[in-house]
Amino acid sequence: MTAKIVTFGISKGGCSKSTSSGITAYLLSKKEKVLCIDMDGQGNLTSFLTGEFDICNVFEEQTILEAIKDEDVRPYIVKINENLDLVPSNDFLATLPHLMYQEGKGLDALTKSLNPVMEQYDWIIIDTPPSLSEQTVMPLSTYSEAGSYSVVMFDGSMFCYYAIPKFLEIVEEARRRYNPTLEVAGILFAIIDPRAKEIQSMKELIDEEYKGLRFKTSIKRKASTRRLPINGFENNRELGQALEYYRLFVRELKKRVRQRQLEKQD
Amino acid sequence: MSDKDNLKNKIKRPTAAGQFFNQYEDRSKKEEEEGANIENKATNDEEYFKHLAQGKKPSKETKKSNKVFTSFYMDADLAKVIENKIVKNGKKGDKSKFINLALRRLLEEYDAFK
Repeated sequence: MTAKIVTFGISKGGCSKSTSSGITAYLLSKKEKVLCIDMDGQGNLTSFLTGEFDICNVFEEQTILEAIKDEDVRPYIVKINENLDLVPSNDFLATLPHLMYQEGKGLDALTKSLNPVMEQYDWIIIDTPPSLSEQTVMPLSTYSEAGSYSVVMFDGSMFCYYAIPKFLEIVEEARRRYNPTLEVAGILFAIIDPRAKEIQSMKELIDEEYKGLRFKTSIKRKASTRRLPINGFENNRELGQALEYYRLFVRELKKRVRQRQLEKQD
Repeated sequence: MSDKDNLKNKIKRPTAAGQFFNQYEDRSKKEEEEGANIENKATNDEEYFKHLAQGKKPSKETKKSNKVFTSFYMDADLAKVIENKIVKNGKKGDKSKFINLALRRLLEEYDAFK
């Protein structure tokens, strides 16, 4: 097996990138081997999956920053459950651009770090920060012969609507220069308030402008999903409810990835 | 770049994402150029000293770069050849240049600059 890479991103904060990437990784790991990479220095995905909030101390010099520096993620992998692993992050990831300049690293640095484990996982799920930066660009530039996909997060707001073309420009540049296998898996509506009147108009607009890209599943805002970082995945009575929409999304994501792979084979 | 390409670039300005990627490509081009310059210098020096060692007059000038003073013991046979060939046929500073060239070649072979 070679890992398929899925990068969650959008150049706007608060669109549920960390929650969505964490839940997607968790659901995929029910049947397959998954490695999660936290590329956001806020470390929300790290906290979400490990239950650890003192990330600067707990993961001191044991993060994706060091993995990129050493060009090998293996010493920095944290086991979450039988099938799910994580390379954590913390605030020190802010020093990544300086490190890259100092050590003369290129935007293929994450590819080099992941190469030693590409055959050990079915999926690599990457969370990115809401910025045009090395932390976003490198995951998109990470090549896998099994395919590399981006999920564009969309919260239904005007700010996010205008962030989509900017994010797609990053995807396009990454594909052109580093990662010819990169494709947009789709645009995911997330933390949607069903009462918001503009959502239907937004869906129509997205369908007109980015034909076929919108996932049919929308992740609706749910208190039980918001409580997941507090309650965790284990022994959580409301887990089924919290993951309701994500189960549908992951099914759709896998179907799209399978379809793209079949199209490539043809 | 042609006038037509210049105009096209002015009309279609690069995106922020494009500029971001360009930073890295510009840097790697610069590093390649610097590497090529070092290589050229080494080649020039090599030709120059080859001429000296063969008893011919030097034909090329090379610019002086930053140096630091150091001293060390040299094997007698090496010292003799350097004195008789390089120092005798060359000019002031050629002995240092020659030692630098020899050391650089060995250190490059050992990947010491990486």
